Amino acid sequence: MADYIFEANHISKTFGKGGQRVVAVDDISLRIPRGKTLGVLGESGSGKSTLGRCILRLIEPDSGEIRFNGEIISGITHRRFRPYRRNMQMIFQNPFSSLNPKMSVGSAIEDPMRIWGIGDKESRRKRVKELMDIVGIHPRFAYAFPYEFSGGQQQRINIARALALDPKFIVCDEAVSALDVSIQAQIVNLLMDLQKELDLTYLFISHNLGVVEYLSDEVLIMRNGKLVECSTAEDIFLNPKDEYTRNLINSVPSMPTAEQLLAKISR
Amino acid sequence: MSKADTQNADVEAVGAGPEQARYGGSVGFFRDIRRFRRNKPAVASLIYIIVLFIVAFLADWVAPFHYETTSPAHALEGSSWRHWFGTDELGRDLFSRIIYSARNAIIVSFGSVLIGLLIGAVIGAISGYYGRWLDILVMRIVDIMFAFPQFLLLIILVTAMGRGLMTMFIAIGITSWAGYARLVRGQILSAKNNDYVEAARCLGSKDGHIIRSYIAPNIVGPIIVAVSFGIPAAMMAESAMSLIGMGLRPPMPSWGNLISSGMMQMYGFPHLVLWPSLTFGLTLLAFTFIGDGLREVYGKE
Amino acid sequence: MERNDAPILEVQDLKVAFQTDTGLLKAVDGLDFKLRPGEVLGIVGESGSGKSVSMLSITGLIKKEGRETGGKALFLGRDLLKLNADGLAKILGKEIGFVFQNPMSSLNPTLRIGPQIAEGMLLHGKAKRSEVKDMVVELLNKVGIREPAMRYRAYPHELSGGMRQRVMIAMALSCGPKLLIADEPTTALDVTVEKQILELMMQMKDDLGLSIIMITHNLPVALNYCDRVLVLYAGRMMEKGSAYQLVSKAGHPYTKALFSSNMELGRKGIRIEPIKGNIPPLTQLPEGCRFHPRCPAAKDKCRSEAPVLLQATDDSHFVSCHFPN
Repeated sequence: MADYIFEANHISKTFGKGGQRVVAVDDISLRIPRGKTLGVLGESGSGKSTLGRCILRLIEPDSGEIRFNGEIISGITHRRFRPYRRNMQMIFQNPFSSLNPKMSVGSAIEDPMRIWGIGDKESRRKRVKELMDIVGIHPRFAYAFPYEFSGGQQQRINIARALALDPKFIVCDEAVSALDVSIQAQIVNLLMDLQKELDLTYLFISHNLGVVEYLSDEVLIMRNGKLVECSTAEDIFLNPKDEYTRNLINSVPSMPTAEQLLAKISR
Repeated sequence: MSKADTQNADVEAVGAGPEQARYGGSVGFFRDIRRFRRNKPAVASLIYIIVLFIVAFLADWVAPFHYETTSPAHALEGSSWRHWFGTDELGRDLFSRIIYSARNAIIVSFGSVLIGLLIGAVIGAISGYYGRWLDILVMRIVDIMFAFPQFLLLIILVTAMGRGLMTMFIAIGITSWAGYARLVRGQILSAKNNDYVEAARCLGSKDGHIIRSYIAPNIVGPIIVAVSFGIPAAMMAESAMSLIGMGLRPPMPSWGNLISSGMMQMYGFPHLVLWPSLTFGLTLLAFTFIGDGLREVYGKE
Repeated sequence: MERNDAPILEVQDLKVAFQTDTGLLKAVDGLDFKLRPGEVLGIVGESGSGKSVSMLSITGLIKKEGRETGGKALFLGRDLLKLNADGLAKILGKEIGFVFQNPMSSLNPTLRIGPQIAEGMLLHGKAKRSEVKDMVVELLNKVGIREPAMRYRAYPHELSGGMRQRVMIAMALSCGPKLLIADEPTTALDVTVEKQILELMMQMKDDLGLSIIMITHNLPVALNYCDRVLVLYAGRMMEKGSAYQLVSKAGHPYTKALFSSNMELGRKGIRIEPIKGNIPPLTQLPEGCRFHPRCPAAKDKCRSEAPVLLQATDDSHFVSCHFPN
């Protein structure tokens, strides 16, 4: 049996009451093998972000069971859940707004260690430098503020902060969607390198099929809160079973070949 | 970390780097000051207010006369080297009385704003952060406070507690908390929904830490602005009360008292109303300019 | 397919700069192109490339204070940069239609969509009051809105993102423009909807004989739908050519890097080599070629001397690089 670091069974979440009820997540089950990436693919309104938040209990799911390392972490009190937080982190879509504008980036990266009372001031500072190095931001910028960095750099800082507690599991919610094309690949490569070195497990939520295919081992496709298809990345992209998946894949504009363009011109 | 390290090392080497490199590290507080300094009227107003503060608090030493010192021989004189702004019907030095008025106005306005802000911030923070039924309840009370005329409430409070400096600033403080509560609540509500607060929660922060390190620093700006506009408003309330004889008890001078007694002799001795009105107006204007300056600084975020 | 017709829009050496607190911000520096009737021109670039600013400046949709413009933007012979607000107002919406990234913020949320479209048509004298409603309904039908007579009375928030973008297109086309400027028209949309909208735009182009300028950060979109493509970086043109020329013989290292770092499907298992470094802030642009700090092939000349746009492989293909290929 494979070693699943994370399992979620029959997660459901409904927002609103009465006639305005919206079922954001409808009976979704998933499990992620240790050290692998599960990509969650869906269009806007598919409930993929809500799913990510339910899994980290940033939103309480209505029903369902969540296991981390085999231990049940759903339905327990927040006090008992808190120790698990250290092992699960999240990287958000908007790199700027997920950083506190009034906190220097070094301080932001140090903050999780302060919260958990890890080390003394000096050892924490050393760790901040280390983390900044790992994500490719020179440690001399530790005293700079988020607005002074470009989007890609801000996302690197977010990644450093998420890594500060040595988590085993990271939810990336559209982590590269707000970045420029030339920066996206940098960040995706960084995430993949970190995964190898630190043995991380990712839940990678995105609407970008190319990115999901590039870095996922397994892919789950969601639509209107429901599971459409879940399989290995090769399976999903090379022989999709579901009509919706096929339609999704066919809609992605691909780089035209020279022959295609020649044919278009002579038409 | 070797591989990521080397791969990203060159990323950094050519990265444009943060702007800080250019600015020589002036960020946060210092950046705010730099922005404020560009607003000339605000800077001039700040200088005026600082001078006013020093003079007012050193009134016992700076003012040429005590506010109660009468000199019937020199009653109702115009400006002279001895009495810069002239004297009133009892021969009291108007310049000195204005200095003492400024002191009283500062005590009343800062004291009342502090009280109002303290009450309002605590109530607004709890209401905004924890929300739900508590929020609904608090906001209804705030609505009622707003619906009730402040002036009427002031009169009731003063009648109940008696006239005096202390009464004045407690009464104004109590009647002004609702505005601060609403502001703090609104700011917290919007700050609470920021991604960085969710990120902090995800890191395992407890409520106290989130409020202190993530919410508070991001809402001080608008609160400072509100305070800078609250101070002249409190001064207005104080002098309005004095104007109708419900403010400070004479012979304690206040801009309101001075103006109201000056008005009675306005045609014969215009200086009695001119100087207090002028200095009062100037002070209110200065606070407003400072408030505008601060708003510009904090509005840019 | 050679076209000899006079260009609809001819932009010559367009420069746009803004006076800011931190110095002169050169948003666009030397933009040059001709747009012929029936042609689709793609302007491709990342953030800060000047792709949106250039179009917003020539149409006066960007604030005038602190803005300095140079060069010419001839729309059917009239220089848009020399026109005053009244002169521009006569052209905008009538002869030039706009489609923006976020239809929700460009539509008035308090007005029903039908009357909203009708308003522009009446304003520009394109319809009589008695017949305007029928014309709008027909237009809505044309842009693929089902039950157009019913949707005529819908508010923008009652429509999905894709529907709203169709309404935007209907509005842009309502006065029979000759030129449609679409600024990231599909960036906010899901991929399945994106394809429909792009195809709608192409169909409208064929039906109405429009010329289209499509501003996008998405290289595959530009190459699939545009006849000619401009690649901008940090306010300068890096390369200009037909989609075929760019795909088959891209000359600029930046263009090539965009191709190789694009995350399209089918890249699994092949490590993408990203463009290193970051996009420079426009207030502190590097000397010489603006791309040189990130360019794998940069030499001393690139650091000191800014290259000019020169003809590359054939007469319609231009590259701004000292060492193309």
